[in-house]
Amino acid sequence: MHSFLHRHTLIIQLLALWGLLVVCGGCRQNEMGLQGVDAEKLFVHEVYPLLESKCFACHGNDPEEIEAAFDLRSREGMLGGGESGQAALLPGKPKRSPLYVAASWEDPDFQMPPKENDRLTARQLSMLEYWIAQGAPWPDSSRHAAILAADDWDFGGQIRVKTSEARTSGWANRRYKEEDLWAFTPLTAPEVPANDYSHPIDAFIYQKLKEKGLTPAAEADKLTLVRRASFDLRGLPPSIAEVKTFLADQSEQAYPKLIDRLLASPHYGEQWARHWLDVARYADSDGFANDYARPHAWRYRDYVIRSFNEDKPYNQFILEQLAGDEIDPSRPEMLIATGFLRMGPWEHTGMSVAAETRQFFLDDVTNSVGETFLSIPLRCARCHDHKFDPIPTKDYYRIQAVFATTQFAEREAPFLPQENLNGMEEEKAQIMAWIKRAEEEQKSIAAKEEAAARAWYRARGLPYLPRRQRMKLPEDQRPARYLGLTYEDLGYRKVLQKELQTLHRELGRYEAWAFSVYDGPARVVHSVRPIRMPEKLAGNPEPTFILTGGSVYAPAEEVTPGILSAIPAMKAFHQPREAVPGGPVISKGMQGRRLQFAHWLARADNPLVLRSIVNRVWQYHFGKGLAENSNNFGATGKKPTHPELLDWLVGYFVGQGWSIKALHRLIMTSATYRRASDHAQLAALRQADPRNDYLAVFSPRRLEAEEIRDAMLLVSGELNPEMGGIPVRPEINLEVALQPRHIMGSVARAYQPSPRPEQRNRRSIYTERLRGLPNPMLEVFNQPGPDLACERRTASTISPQAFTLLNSSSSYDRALAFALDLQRSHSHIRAQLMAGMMRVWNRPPSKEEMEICLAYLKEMQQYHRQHPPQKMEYPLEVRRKMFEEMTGEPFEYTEKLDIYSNYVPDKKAWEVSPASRALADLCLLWFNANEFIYLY
Amino acid sequence: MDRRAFLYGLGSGIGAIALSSLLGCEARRQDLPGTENLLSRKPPMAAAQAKHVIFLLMEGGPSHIDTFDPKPGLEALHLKEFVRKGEQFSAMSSGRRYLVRSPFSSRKVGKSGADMCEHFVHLAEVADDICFYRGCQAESVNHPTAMYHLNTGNRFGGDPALGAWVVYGLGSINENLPAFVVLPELAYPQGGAANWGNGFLPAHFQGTPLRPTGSPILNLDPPPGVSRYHQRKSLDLLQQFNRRHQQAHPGHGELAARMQSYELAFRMQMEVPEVMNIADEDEQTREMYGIGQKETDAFGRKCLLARKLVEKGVRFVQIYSGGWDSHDFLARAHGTLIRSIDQPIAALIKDLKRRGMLEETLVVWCGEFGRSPDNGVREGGIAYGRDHNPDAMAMWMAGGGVKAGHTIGATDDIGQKAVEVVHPLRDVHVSLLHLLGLDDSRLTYFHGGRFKQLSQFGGQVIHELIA
Repeated sequence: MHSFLHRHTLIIQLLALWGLLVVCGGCRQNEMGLQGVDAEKLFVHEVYPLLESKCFACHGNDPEEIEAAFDLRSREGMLGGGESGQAALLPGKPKRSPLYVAASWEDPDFQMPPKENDRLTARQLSMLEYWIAQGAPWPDSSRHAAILAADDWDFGGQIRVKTSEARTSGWANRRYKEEDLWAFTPLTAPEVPANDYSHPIDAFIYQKLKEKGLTPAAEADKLTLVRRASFDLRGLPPSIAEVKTFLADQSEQAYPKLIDRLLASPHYGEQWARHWLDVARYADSDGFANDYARPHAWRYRDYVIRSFNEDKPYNQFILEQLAGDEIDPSRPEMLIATGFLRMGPWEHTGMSVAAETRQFFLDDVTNSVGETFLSIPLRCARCHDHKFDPIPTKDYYRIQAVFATTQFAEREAPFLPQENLNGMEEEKAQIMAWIKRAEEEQKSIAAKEEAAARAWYRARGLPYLPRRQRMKLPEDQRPARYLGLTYEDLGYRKVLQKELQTLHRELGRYEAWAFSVYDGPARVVHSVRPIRMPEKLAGNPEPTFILTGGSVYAPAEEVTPGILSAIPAMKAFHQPREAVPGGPVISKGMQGRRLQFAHWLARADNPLVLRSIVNRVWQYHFGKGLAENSNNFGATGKKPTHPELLDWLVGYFVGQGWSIKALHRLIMTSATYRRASDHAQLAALRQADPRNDYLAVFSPRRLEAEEIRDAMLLVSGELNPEMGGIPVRPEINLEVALQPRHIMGSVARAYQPSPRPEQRNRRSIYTERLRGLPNPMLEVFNQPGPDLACERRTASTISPQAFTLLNSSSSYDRALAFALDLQRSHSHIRAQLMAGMMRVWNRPPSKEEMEICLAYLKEMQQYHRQHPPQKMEYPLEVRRKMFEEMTGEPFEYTEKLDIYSNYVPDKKAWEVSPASRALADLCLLWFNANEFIYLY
Repeated sequence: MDRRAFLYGLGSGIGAIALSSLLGCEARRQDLPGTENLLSRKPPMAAAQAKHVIFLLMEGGPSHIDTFDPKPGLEALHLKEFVRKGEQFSAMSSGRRYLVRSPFSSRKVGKSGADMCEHFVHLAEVADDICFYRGCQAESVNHPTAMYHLNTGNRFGGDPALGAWVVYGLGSINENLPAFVVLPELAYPQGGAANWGNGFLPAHFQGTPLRPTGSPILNLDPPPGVSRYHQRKSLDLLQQFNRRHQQAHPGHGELAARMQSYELAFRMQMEVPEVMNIADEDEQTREMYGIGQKETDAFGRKCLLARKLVEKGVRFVQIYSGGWDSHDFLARAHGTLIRSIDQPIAALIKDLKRRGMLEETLVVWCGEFGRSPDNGVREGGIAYGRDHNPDAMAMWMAGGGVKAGHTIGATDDIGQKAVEVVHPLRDVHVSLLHLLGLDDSRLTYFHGGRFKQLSQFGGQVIHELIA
């Protein structure tokens, strides 16, 4: 076995995870609890379905194409042997049965099923082994049916979930390990453990720590706490004044007051909306070939920010995003909220097939609703009944049917008083000017073609026909297409055409539309034009079919809208004496499907939805959720470390009116949250709990991409705290900004930053998010792409981050602004250093730090006096070189960068003194230091 | 701690924790993080000749009919109306359609008698090193989805690119260079950087574009006026801050990793420009690649750089040539493009061969789909072109254990559809991995609830392509 797979080691680890003590196959059966199990029943309930799903595709289903002539569909077939003549099965002798040997993968040259993905688990293997060892009984079909009908199979205490019917036989009889169904299980109301801790969270956490013999760390110092809380709730460091106030307040109430103050800050909504938008996949453009603007998406972004700031009850938040239009289409806010349904990448042009594009949306929204609200990626059940979770394909399409009448539209939604409309007029005027210029250029090319056409007619003494009329004639009776145009003209003509298309699309941004949906019959819509409500809504709802293999061309059984049937099934399982309705009936009509579905999601007894949101909130405070895969609560996701705490928190959350702020308050006032990241016996603790699952210490974290940028702006004194509104454009790496970006048939216009610093220096959540052009600074610090829902950000350490933070002009400009601000507010250099370090690291420099900083400044001042910086100019135009698509000829044109002709740049190095430059160098290092980047 | 890990990915500590979050509890097919460096060199799963890939991607969809799969039958059908059968078409293929002949003549070249259009002059000299394949079918008629499909196995993007999978499977040879390098056109292809993304694999499997102009890696150089002396002084102070900070947080392992990443960045500023420099190649080699000639200079430079990179141990180099989407003016557009790649590619194959590198290097040439035998304009002049066609396409491979000197598979009489040795794109992916000694069904990564693989749901090796 080669090292890449480490198969043995991993299997052993896996078994350990399951609480099995097994190393060798021989004793495995005992551990599995197979001793004394009826082998015939085991065959019917476990082994046969296993063979059916793992073997029959190649060895049975199609008698014409049985691999190696091994027919595994019957005992006779197995005993008969295939091409080799050797029997697959030696009853009573599993270790000598090729069927078992192949399935065990012990022989590297004989491994079945051949795909890694299909390989048998240890549990399946031991069942196969037991069955063979017991003589491989194979009941005939009537006995088989009788055993199934008896419905008394409870091997291993495992659970059968009575979902809606399955596509594959045997699937419905599957048994699930109880722990794999933890998220589907009805909510419980656990008792708070009685121990030394009075705060319920601490009591639960301490209970586990005690069990594991772990000692919790001491409380973090106050400075660490104020930074931690400030970044967690606002994504920004505390101000000097905030730090001073908190440190000075020795009362018991100092900390709760700090939390209340932070929760009341409008920046709270910005930070927590960002987390939500990571999951919802927010972007200001469509993605794919054209990456067309989504001019109204910002209104959804601001809706999410407002919702968090208002502490909108989460159940309300669900209803609005899924069905705001059905709740009240006359309220703009409700239409804006449904932007959620359209957040995924989407494009339909003449180049794509309408039925496929529609299905792409339906699959996308179904999966997204699953991941976002249920923490279950439903996509897994698109082509087949779910391999691990109790989700039949039928349920996937029943949920998809909820969206079958959902159609895209930009709907009229007057601006709300709380929406920020700043900058619209200015930007609109700019776009109008661009449109005007492009149209003029287009006209002059058309005039050139017409002149050539006139000449053509003149030369032949024929009467001139305008373009529209003559193009209908055969080729030899008219001037050729594009006569008189050079290939440069041809290429540029296409560039202009595309430019006008995109500019007109962007022009919509300044009008009061909501990026929204409505209920109606099927219709084909294109990305190139804004999508309006149709005049007539009459028609029948589009039926929904189960699609075989997920293919839109292979519709099978028709389904009606529904919910996840495992939830009521699990409830019935756990509360057999209570009458459990089969979940709500969702209307088959055109209207109201989504609202009814959303009401089911938002029920106070929906275990997945409630565990999902509580777990997410926990995750953003502690770095990982109580269940680590916050988008996947299924069998393949990590199990919760503290399931009782999770359920207790759910109860608390519902009791507090689904208030997320109440949850923050509870979590942040716990001793668990306030723990130091350091520990007296750290090495031993690492050994015992390497992943800090039991929270004896607080896990430090690297600031997230937006937090780094926003904190730099705040510290440098440049941050414009204005909230909401149309997206702004900060400066990005100039090479990337000017780099040609392919859009269908052309090159997109250059990225041009907003003209004034106060526009550029807004928080990162307000910066334009283009799918085709990620901000390279944010991207390098692991901002996730907006195509897939991001359950949790990563924080890799790579050298391009050093290049970005140390060498980019964006970083340097922040450092210089910081230096100049310090010089403005403090005349003495020591005072500047004192204030600077207070702002950037929230603490005064030590004596030694002060001295090394002064020495560095002295040396750098000397350097800068001898090396005056070169002046750099912003480019006013960019030469574009591309291959004309029709002729393959390279051609060039000039793109004007008008923004820079009326641009207010940041202060630059060549405008300031050597002393300022030296101080800026130091400020830049402060930003690069680990003390700035990590949070404890 | 090795340098490559910092450079293009994670070192340890937080990175490893982040990675492990991607692993479900059934992480039986993957290395657990922290036990070894994820980029360290790994043995292939099976014996294989190919250790490197140079993937020449002709973006836009080159016409098979007018390059390597001539259809003389179209002569007689020129400008005859063509009615297609089938259910679902995009707007592009609706309306009245007319078959059109190739504007180019074709001839048999090499001992093997491979078909090449007249504009492939230099490539004809290495025809016997090439295995042409005519049976591949894409699925998508749309550029970005077809590009994603070709590059990631998934039409809708977001999944790891082929190069990322290969590096995940085989690891890196040279710790000072990225293992997966992309040489894009100045304009990124439709679908952007997601064409070489790491998808759900850890960030260090991402393709690193070396930009053709300007700074090869963004912000590689310090701002003007900042000398190496100045930056060294600054780094010294930064590390002084960091050391003090580290003393206060001795348990936080990531701090050391981040400090080292700055030192590596400092050295990189010297090393990357050296790799990019092709001036040290002799005059004759540069000429062979067509460097210095207007038509071939840009692509020739990329091909030469690809050879240099592979020589230095880079696993996977992807080179883009853009603009093959000839809906009109096929003769001029394809003619110019073919001439721009012909000499450089031939030189690449010859150069690899004379250095004994061709056997270990798999060279692949293709676009995201082929082109239709017909178009929507009834014009026989110079203006006609061809539309997208996922049912037939041109593709060839050289080196790395392929069946050189053969043409495998066939399309129908007019080049509308592959009819012999027909395979979906995923089988090509599986075959490429196979040539590198990797088994698609075992090269899996746990994400989003299941073990994912390049072919999505499995595929088969096209044995006809393999020597």
